[in-house]
Amino acid sequence: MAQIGASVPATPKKVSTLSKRKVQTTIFILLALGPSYCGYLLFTLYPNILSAYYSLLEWNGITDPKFVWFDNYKYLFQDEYVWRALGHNLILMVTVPILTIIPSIFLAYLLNVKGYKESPLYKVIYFLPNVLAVIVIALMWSFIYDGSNGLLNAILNLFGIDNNDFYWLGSKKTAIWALLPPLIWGGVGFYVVIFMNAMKSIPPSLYEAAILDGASHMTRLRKITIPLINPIVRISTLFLVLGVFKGFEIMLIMTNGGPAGSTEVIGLYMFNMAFGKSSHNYGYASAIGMFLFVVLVIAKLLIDRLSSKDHAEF
Amino acid sequence: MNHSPKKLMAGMLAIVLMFTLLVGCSGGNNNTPAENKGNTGEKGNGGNSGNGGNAAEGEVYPENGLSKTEKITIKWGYWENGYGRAWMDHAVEKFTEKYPNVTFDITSSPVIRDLISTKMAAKNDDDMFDIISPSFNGDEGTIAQKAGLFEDMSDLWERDVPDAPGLKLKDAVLDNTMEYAQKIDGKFYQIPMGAYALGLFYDKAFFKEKGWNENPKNYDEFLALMETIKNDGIAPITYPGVYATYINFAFLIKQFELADKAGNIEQYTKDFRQGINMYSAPEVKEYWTRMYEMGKKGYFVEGAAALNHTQSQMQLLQHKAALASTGDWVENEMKDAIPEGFEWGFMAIPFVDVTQNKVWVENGIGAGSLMIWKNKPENVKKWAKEFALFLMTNDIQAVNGENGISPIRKDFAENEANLAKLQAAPKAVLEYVKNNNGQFATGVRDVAFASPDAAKATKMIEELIIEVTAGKKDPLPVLEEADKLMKKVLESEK
Amino acid sequence: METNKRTFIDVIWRLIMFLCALSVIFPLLWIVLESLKTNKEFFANVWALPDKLMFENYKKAWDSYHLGSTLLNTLYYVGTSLALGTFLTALSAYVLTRLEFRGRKFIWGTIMLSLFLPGINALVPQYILMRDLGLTNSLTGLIILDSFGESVFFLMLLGGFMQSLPKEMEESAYIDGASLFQVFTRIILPLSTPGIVTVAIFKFLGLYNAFLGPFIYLSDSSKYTIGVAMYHANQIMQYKADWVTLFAGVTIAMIPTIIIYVFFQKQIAEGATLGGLKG
Repeated sequence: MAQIGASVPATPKKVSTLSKRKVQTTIFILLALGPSYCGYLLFTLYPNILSAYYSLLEWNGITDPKFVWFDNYKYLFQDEYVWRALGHNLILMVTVPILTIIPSIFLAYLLNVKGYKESPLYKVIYFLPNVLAVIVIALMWSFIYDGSNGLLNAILNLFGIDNNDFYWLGSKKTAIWALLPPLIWGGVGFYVVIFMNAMKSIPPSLYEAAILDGASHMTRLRKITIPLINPIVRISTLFLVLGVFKGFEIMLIMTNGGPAGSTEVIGLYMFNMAFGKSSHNYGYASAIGMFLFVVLVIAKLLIDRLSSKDHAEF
Repeated sequence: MNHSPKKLMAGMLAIVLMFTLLVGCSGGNNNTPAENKGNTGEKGNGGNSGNGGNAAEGEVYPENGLSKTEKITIKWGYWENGYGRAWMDHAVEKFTEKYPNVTFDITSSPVIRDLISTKMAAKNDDDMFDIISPSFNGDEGTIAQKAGLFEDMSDLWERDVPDAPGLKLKDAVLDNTMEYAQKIDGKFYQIPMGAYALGLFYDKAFFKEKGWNENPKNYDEFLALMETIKNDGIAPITYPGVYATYINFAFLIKQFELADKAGNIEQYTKDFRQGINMYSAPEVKEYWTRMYEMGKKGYFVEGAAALNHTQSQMQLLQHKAALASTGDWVENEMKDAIPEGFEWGFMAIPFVDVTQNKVWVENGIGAGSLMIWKNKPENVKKWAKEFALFLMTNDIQAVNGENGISPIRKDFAENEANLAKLQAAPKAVLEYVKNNNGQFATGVRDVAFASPDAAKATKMIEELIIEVTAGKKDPLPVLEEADKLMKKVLESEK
Repeated sequence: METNKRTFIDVIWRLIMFLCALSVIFPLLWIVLESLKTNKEFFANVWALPDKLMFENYKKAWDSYHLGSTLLNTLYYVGTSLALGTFLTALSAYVLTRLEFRGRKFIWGTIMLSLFLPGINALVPQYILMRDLGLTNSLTGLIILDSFGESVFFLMLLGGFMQSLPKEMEESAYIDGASLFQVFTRIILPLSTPGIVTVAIFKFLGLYNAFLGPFIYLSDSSKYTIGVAMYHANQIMQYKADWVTLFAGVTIAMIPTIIIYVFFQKQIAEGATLGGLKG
């Protein structure tokens, strides 16, 4: 069994050059993949392995580290702040992907199928938030939510709703929900483009038969489009779920986890443990990181399980 | 042939692993910088010219005996905060003018702490800044000082201040400075170069316009003021809930006021500084309870939790709130936005009757003071100390005063021109203290706890603030819980 | 398809699409508007129009954030990382999607791991590593860090695109005796242009907006990039009330990204696919 070699020459006609080709191929693979893969092992994987070791230390980054075995992990399981943060992650993990993907599919479908004359312009505009820095997005939305002169309250006032200068990010009840729009706003445009491209690759003949049968747009979207782009939807879901679990920049800038911890997510808790304003605990932060790693892998397996109608792996 | 690629792949992996191991090992070596402490000294300046005393006459500065010709570069990690960077630029300019052989290499950032912490954890002395400031404060700074990472600067107290030969630094500074300045195990790792005061700031013009009581003499009068302001449709007190501990600027020191009234101040101060009964002292419970009562009556701005420093202070400038809990740097911080006609005023919350008892105002010294990294070349450290001393000259202090840093030199006020340059907010504090039987004191502790339990207690208390000022949560059960954690911490430290 | 039948429901769809577009454009225009006010006007009423357009804010932002030198640094850092990194990513994507070899699954598996790594906890060990390699406080060091590596996202983006390419041209090239590298440069690269441009755009955005890495690794502020400058400008607002200058700075910082995006939006619209890298 020739394991190595381009998959391309499926029927080897020139046997004599085959082994030479194999050597060439091997060298090419090494040269092509080597630099970036080694860089990956060195700059990404190795620090993380070291971090796994850190998770067994009690270390504030100042005094000498103390090896404490699994104390950090034991502490972690009793730390209600970890579980509270994970609860917030869970809320976002359910809402953000759904509220990003469903509108994206709709907008992509509309842009693809309905040739409104303004559609090309919208294609350009929808993607625009993706080119903005997180800092800009957070800054903008902080002003939208401001109580005394925010955009949101100004709009509500236009409709005659006076909410008494309500601070959307200042209340435990609303703060975490108020974070959804910036998180979604920043991502929808990208998935619109992704889904548009996925939809374009669906053969038109499939739709034609449905149209003949008198199927409505809704039916076509449900019966043809969505099943066919399902693998892409799954990958998108995975990216969004992982992004929501790992991300914390928006919270860091907009609320710093407040009020009273009601928007603290696990990434932010870990970040503050390692780089926050009060004393640091790199060992514990690393333990949270390792724990998060396990949670993320489980999340991935769950997504696979929940949506595995076909066996397309990625 | 079939096997060679596999071998190659394996070989490549082996090389990568070896590489990473090597790196790991060298990292490990650097984890013990104490061993080559001495070496770094010489390495840094190529040759042992550190002791300027050996150099020929005329080649040294007479006032400090350091070489005139030796080029020195001081790496400074500067925290750009409410004082801005104008005072720092000015001090550096004046110093390098006087000592042209010295240059500064400045990294200035509002988030310099992140950088310093990373460098500290990486444990490489060459990579570290020579001086860091203003104070790398808070628990982390205390722990780092205790761990001996910084140069002991206690000897500076015995030096003459550069612009007044014969006047020792310890005699040149305001009374009680040495007592209040943070010291770890009796040593000073930073020399205060300025002072700050904390409390409630307001607009005098606005108060006059509304006819509000600018000087409540006791707690009842204060509460009456709060009620009047609220009834006039203005939020009485604002503070930045994103950084909720700002509310402490108005409340923390009140525990001393209560202890003082009870005649227990000496022991209380001792305990406080050692972190004893942090959350369980009756005085602590009392100030939290009063905060809670005020919260229930709606005396704190709604939505405070969404505000950062400047947003909260904006509410003061815009008269959406009557008082802001902050520090006397507020004027400098907000200088781009202060409306015309705004007049800075200050008050502390009188927990006692100010006609009979002292009203306590939290102040601190140390604003802007710098710390010197210990494992650095001797002559760089010497010049850094010269610079620290230079910051105590009245010319520098005056410019600092213009930038919101209250001067700390006793003889500063002897010069009328100097006083006139002070900003209005710090002046308002001085005026309040003079008129109200005021007592300055510091809220700095000499200890810091790094254990996860202590961190948890801190977090618990910080999150409590929002709930208490909103009148939504009784602080006492949480204080008890935090106290249990701290008891555990203190127990394990023994 | 039946396109030009317009019904009432179309009015609703068009309204929804319009509102979505508005929600994107409006806040951006608002930032530009605020950047032309004085601070006092901004605080008096954030919705009012300025009395006089304050273009001075832009000069102030340019000077106080040192945008001239930061943009030059950014050009070097982003330009080099982009060229090198995109080329390497294209090579990786090609090898991992179109070549079959032993160990591919293993390599792909280890790369997939990075998806699940939280990241922040590894910052301190990564810093120590960078310092030991002598790569700190140097833009070139940062370029090395950012160019040599694998990213699941980019591999999926580009790999997905490459997989959709027909195999016939490649095969005939092999039969004509072309080497793999020749196939890659002469056939794969040109055909993958939209995908590569898309990856390059995303890399550009990531590098251009990056702040934590450049800030931690560059202690010399004369080497700062625009991402760090903007991060600082934003953080300093805790200690300053000069919002209009911040808005002006943010606007300046947005201009290159928006120009580049508008310039390449056709390629993105074509090249943005998330492909199945079947493992």
